[in-house]
Amino acid sequence: MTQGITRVLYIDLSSLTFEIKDRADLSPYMGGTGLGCQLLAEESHLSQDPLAPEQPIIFSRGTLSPYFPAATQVAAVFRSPLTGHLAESFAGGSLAAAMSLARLNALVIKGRADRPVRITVGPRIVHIKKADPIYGTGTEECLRELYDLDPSPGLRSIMVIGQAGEKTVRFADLVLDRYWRFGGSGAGALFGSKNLKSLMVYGDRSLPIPDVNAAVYREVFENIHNRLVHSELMPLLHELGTVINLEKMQSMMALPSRNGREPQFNALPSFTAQSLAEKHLVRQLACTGCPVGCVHVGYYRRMYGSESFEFEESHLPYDYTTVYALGSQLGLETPGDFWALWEKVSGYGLDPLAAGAALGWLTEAFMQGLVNEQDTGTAIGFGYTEGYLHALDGLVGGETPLYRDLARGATFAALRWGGVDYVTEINHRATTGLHTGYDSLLSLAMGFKQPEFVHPLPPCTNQEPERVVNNLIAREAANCLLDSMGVCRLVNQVYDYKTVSRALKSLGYKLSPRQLKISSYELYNIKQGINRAFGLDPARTNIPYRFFNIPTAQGLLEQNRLAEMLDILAKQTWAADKEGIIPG
Amino acid sequence: MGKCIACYSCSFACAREVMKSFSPQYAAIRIKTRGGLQSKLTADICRACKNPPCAEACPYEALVPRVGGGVKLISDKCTGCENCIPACPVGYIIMNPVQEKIVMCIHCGICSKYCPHDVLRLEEVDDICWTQDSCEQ
Repeated sequence: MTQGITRVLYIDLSSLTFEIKDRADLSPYMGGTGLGCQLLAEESHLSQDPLAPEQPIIFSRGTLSPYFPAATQVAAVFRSPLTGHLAESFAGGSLAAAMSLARLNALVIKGRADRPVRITVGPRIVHIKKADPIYGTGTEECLRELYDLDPSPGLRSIMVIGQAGEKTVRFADLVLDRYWRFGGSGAGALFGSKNLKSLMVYGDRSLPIPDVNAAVYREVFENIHNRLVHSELMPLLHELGTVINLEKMQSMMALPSRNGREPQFNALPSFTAQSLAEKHLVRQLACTGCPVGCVHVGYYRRMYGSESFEFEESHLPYDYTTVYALGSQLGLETPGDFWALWEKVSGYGLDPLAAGAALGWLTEAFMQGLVNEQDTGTAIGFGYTEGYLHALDGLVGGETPLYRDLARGATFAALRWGGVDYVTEINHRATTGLHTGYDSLLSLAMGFKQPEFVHPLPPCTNQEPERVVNNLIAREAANCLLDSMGVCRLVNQVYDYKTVSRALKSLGYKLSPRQLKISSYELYNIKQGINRAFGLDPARTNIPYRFFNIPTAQGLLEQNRLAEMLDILAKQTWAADKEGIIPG
Repeated sequence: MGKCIACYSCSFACAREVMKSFSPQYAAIRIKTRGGLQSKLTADICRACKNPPCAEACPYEALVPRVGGGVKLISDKCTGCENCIPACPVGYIIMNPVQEKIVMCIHCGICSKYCPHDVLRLEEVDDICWTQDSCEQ
């Protein structure tokens, strides 16, 4: 690690060239989100469509990766083709470690190749190779091909798109190392628009620990490791995973079903964390450098035909959001239906949340007669898996005008075909199924992430709008810092300002907890400055009426109250007074 | 190894504590996948042979058989000749290209301390049970 120097690899697919820059001017932005946002601000073209060839996608690793446990997340930063706003998407796998061992802080990809290509990046090479034969493959098959096509020394990480990304479906994901994904904002569509099928990064460089820091580093590492493995969340995250939230959310009235038409997920007894673990869980996996192991892989087998005893098997990761988005949201009855749908969504490389929102809207539009069987090619209904599987084929294949609109997201389709009142998206972002109250809607509006584990909240009448907003901004600012450090959101309570300060000190950075707190608000402001340039205005956010009919942990929400909070949020965020909003 | 979750905590621990490096690929225990994460995981680790072929292959006496199995690497004597690499029956030995010496496990057990899933365990071996002959006695 060279102190103060940020190494950025720029790849231009239009000219098939690359350049490495060692920059000293980027250190104030740290890594992860902060660094990614700064590079995006430098490279992004405001006047161009998000899928224009010039638009960049940036991968930026956190400052603490891979030096500390659970600092495993790489930020993908770009202008979202789904929302038009800033997209920051995080994934773990082996990518952060591979980037470190390739001595890269960030990677910027722009331009468009004139034919399908794939990129391999190592410490000594950047190869842009033709990918015609693997174009058209699903994510799982493509990864299998690539593991053998490009054997590499050292630690390796591969991300691919499926057919959805190739067809620039605006909510296509990037699938990373089989069980992780850069999800939710259309990173896969960006790859597709560049004719880029895959990106492999491997690293085998040696990174010696400087003697001067060794003792402090080991002590800080030990401290964080012990706090992590002895955390009360560890057994939950490892043994059963985030699906344990399903029952908790249901009991808090925060798990809506059937596109928000019903307040409870009726089939939950078949989908409890316990039941999924007993019947489907085959293994837990961890990101490289994290002792938690929160990725849960389930087993699904499908019989060919109806009477033979021949099976095809799939191993698929599952978590709270996938079960919510493709199970509860669509009213599926059995885990078998869920696996079948998730296998299709995952294979195409679609985002499960956005796909669930799209299919949820489609179901109601079909029920209300806004769209018919000519538009869909099939009957559509809650719990009717066959119809959904057919609809996904139609959507990725762009078979009808309806599907071509739906490939731009549920909100886009609803604006064309009607039914905007029951779209379960805000600012084109699909709900994550954690309906805790005002904070969850405000988070969606702004693109903030919600905490995976939610504690019971007081009823909404007890909360002053300003307080809700200020708490939300404080949480998001702290997250901005951790996102720049590369720390996984699931364990962020272990990384308080003091711990981050000590960890940075052991790596040679001198930043006090107070300075880090100020930095976190600065990072928040940088991020929201980009969002503002991209046209996001919280005060002018349209919230579909359905959200005021969906019960939340705080009861039913009031439109006026939410509008008031959005106004406050706009004023607080756009105030551009960096110090002004820093409490304490 | 069926319980391994591929967190690489063992490799990082060895790299950090023994090799004084952040780089897990030159640690003395290395976790690997074959065919991606869908397949099972394997660990490249010294099996502590009782009659270590690597020591027999070393022309410089840099690998000295240890009581209880395995070898001790005398780093100053290692020239990086790589004779031991093909001699290892499980293909465990690799070169550290920076140091130009081989990587060898010292059987300290630090990897097992950081394993969160009880895959690894440090076992004390009976010193007397060093050769087949002495066991029979």
